[in-house]
Amino acid sequence: MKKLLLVFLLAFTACAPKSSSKLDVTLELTPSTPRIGKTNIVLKLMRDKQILEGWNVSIEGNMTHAGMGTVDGTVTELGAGKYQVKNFDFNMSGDWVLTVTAKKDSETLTNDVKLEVAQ
Amino acid sequence: MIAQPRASRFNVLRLPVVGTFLRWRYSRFVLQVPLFLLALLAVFDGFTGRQIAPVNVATVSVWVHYRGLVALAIALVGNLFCAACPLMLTRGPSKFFSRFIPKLEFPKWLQNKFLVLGLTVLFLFCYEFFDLWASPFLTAWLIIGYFAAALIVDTLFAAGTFCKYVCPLGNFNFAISGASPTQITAINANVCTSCEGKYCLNGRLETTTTRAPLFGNRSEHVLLELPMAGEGHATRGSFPGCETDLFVPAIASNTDCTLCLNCVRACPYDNVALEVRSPIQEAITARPKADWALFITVLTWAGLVNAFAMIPTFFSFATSLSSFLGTRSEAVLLVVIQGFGILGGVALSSLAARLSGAKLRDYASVLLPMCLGIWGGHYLFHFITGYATLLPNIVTALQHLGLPLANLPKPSIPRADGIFPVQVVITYVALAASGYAAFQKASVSSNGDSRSLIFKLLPQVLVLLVIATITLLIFSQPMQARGSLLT
Repeated sequence: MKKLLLVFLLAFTACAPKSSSKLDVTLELTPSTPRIGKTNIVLKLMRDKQILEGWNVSIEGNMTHAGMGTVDGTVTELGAGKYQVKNFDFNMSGDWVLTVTAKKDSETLTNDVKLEVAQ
Repeated sequence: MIAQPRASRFNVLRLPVVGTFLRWRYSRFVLQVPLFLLALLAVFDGFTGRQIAPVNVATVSVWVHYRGLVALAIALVGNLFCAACPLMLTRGPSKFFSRFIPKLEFPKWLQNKFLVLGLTVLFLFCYEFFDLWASPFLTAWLIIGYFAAALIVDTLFAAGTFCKYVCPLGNFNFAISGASPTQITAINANVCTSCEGKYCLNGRLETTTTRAPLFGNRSEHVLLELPMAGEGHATRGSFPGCETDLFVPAIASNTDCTLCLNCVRACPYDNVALEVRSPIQEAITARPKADWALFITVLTWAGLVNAFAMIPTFFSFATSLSSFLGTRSEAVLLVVIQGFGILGGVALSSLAARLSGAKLRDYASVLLPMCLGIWGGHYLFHFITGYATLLPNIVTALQHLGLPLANLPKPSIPRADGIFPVQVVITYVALAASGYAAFQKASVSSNGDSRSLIFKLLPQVLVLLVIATITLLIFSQPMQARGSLLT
């Protein structure tokens, strides 16, 4: 019985999805407390404490509930590892996941940042 | 009780193409296969895909499309999802395992709806506590768990035990299909009275010279040498009967009917109809057993609690409750909120029945349209906002499997403002239907005494108004999808 349980737990663990966190993302939001509506976001991107410059960056917003569709933002580089997303549309309150992806040459880094949007 | 034949009937099975397809013995299998493949893909994507609910097949298919389409199908047609249930594809493996494992009798004390009622309440708690709606990984395990449970239960016990006594999804469908517009009936009850084998219940084994029930141990169930065997409608072969023990002429509701149509194929006299009926017929005529009456009542109030958990007021209430109770345990807070909502609702319904001079079971069926309205209105919100999200996610999952498919653009989030009027219409239609059913029930029991009618009807109308008001208050609030109960 113990062996069976062990096999089950191993299978369970083996199937657990891995999360990627190579990309460090810091968010600066305007307004600072995200609310429903358009929000300006500045992303500060780093890897191993080194800022990322000249990367092709994209951002995708999803709510945590299935069926809520996707919000994409247009990202422009500001320099010094900072990237700007203007008028990102948080159009419902609740838990959001912002997926930030940075690409350069053949390398792709990504990270999911969670935040709560108020009414 | 044998149902009496009625003059005007519309039998879906008589429709030219649809009827022919439904009567075909492999029609259920054809419906099950796509859902089974989707379930496999959902499990694959749940384990290996992005762990963000709106972009994963597991969460989108289960929490958006399955639930929305279940409500829509039941409101417009009938219990189609039980008819196409892929879990029943475990029948092959369970029959295989049954060669080595002796069949057990499902315990008598569990042969009621109390077990599945408990499992349904447990499921609703887990849904909120583990945020199943937000986790592709846990949703994939849930799918596997369902298949495993169906396989184990129907291997150890008689086929149909899982559907009838264990499956929360199936019993949810049974309950809300009480307000659906179709029902299995006998075309001519006299044919059933003289039927020698009760084949719709027991199944039929037909050869060119013999006809016999497949199951059953009644004395009349012997292999019959029949001159008409194998002729006319009675096609040759082996046709299973009803796995949930329904005898067609005695069927008075959709409870326990999976619309598998085994009865249609098993009847050698072509005497089974899928009849179009009034969606409120069952609400007016049914008098369920105590366990099923409790299930319907719990499900109705649980629908309110489940929808309540999607709006900001729920989280404000949870925060206040946390301060009041001095705990930040989400489990405790959820148990209190769900327990208060459901038990309070059941107590209110019981009190209304008592004030109407009746028992809960006398008026429980009145809740059926309201129950469908609450769950349907909630599920349709998610379906209407998210129906376009499944296909792009399926394409992405198939790409992960190696199929060379082009990307589909992911749909943007609609603001969902236009859905509230639809929910209002659904709620008012449900309220009117339940109110009418209550009026009919009260009329019958008051025997033409108008004073008695008012006293019997008033408590039911008040409860229905309370339910409808809470429903509209919840639907009118903006949705807030949040995982953590407390900030």
